[in-house]
Amino acid sequence: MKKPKYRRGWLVPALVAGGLVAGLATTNRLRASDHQDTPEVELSPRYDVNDVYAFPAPTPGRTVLVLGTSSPITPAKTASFTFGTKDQELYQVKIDNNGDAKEDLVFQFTFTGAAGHQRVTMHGPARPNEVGTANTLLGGKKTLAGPTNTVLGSASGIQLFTGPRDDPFFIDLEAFFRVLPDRKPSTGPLSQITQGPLTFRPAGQAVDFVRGFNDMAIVVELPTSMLVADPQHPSKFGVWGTTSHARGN
Amino acid sequence: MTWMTDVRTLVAALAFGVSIVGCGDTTSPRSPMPSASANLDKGRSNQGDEDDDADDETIYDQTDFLGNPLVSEVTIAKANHALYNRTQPYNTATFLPQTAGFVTGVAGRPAEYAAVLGSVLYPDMLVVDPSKSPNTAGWLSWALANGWGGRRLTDDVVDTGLIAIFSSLLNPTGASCAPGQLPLCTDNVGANDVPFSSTFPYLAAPHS
Repeated sequence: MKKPKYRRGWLVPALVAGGLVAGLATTNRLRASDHQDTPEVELSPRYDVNDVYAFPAPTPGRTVLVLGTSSPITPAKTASFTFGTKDQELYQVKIDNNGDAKEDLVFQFTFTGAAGHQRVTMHGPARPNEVGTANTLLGGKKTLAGPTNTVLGSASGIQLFTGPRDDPFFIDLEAFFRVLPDRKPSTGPLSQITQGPLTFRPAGQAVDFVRGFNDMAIVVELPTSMLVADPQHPSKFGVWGTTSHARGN
Repeated sequence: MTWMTDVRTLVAALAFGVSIVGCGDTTSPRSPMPSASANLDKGRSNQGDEDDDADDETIYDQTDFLGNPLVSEVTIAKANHALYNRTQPYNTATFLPQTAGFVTGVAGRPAEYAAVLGSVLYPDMLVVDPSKSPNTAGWLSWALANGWGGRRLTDDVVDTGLIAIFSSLLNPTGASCAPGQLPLCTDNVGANDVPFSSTFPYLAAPHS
């Protein structure tokens, strides 16, 4: 079954807009707004960052970082599970650890090879060559490298997994599109949904639309001390994920 | 869910006028696109590995950016989405006012709440406070419950977002998010379709 593309980042605004439409019926501006994703990401779903996670590992003093991307967001049995290769794409997790919301450390992940036989190279965490949205590769010594779909590194140091996993997100997307059908995709089963009541389905009837979906995951676990500015006095840090496209390719 | 406790903490903070967040970047907007040519050859040492061949000059331009789930684009107009994806968390000065305006104007929340919500969500990144107990980890818990923060795989961020915007819990009157009255407070999908693993890499095996 072909699954339509969707953009979870737009769900809540769309719901808000839908609620307003229902409540005021005078929201032409919002109703006219189109919550599709940017054309670039829509056409190249490998560049879509689905989700970013940061949570404590079961082992004290260690942190897990997850960058979930779509390839595209597709159901199981797709034959096209693959990361964008480094001639085209760079995946990064960025860390601010001094409170200025600028990256002090970056993880860079690049991939080579064809689907099913890809290899990953990880650099960082290390200070980036540039702060901002135009980035170059760290180069130098690799942190880890090896095949995808394999646990690399050590459980006491840095561990890395890259490859298809169950999409960890969960949402009743069909109900959402009944609430706000003008946000539905133009193709696929969801495109057939029509306006319903402004409510979600009750417990027991709600359905996780993303059930059975996979995504392309990058999972890193490492000592939390490697993420903070001063390991002796650990303080707040911020985490975000990016995808980038090789200029000229 | 711990979120409900978090919300009550937030409401209490609102009621007492307490500023619970203090690390917002309030400086003027900076160029999101620093000179790309400045540092191209800095710090490189090609290891002679095939993976590293012939890429030293490549510049990668950011295509997508995600910090907090659901939030980054929530209150940002479509026209600004491409710009948002090409910014970084220090986009606060540009985008927080749009978020605050959306929360007050569209969702009808009090301005005080919009300010608190905005200061929690911006700069737009997952904030972790590793000085707190890992047992308190959860999306926004660093701000709302003095917790570790971050985002767990099990966090129901859809409900969190819905509650944040629609629930009267966020109103100082403290009313509940009653089904029927506020039907958009939960999608009634509270967990992933398959269990997460307790061991690395934690995400469940792919469906086949």
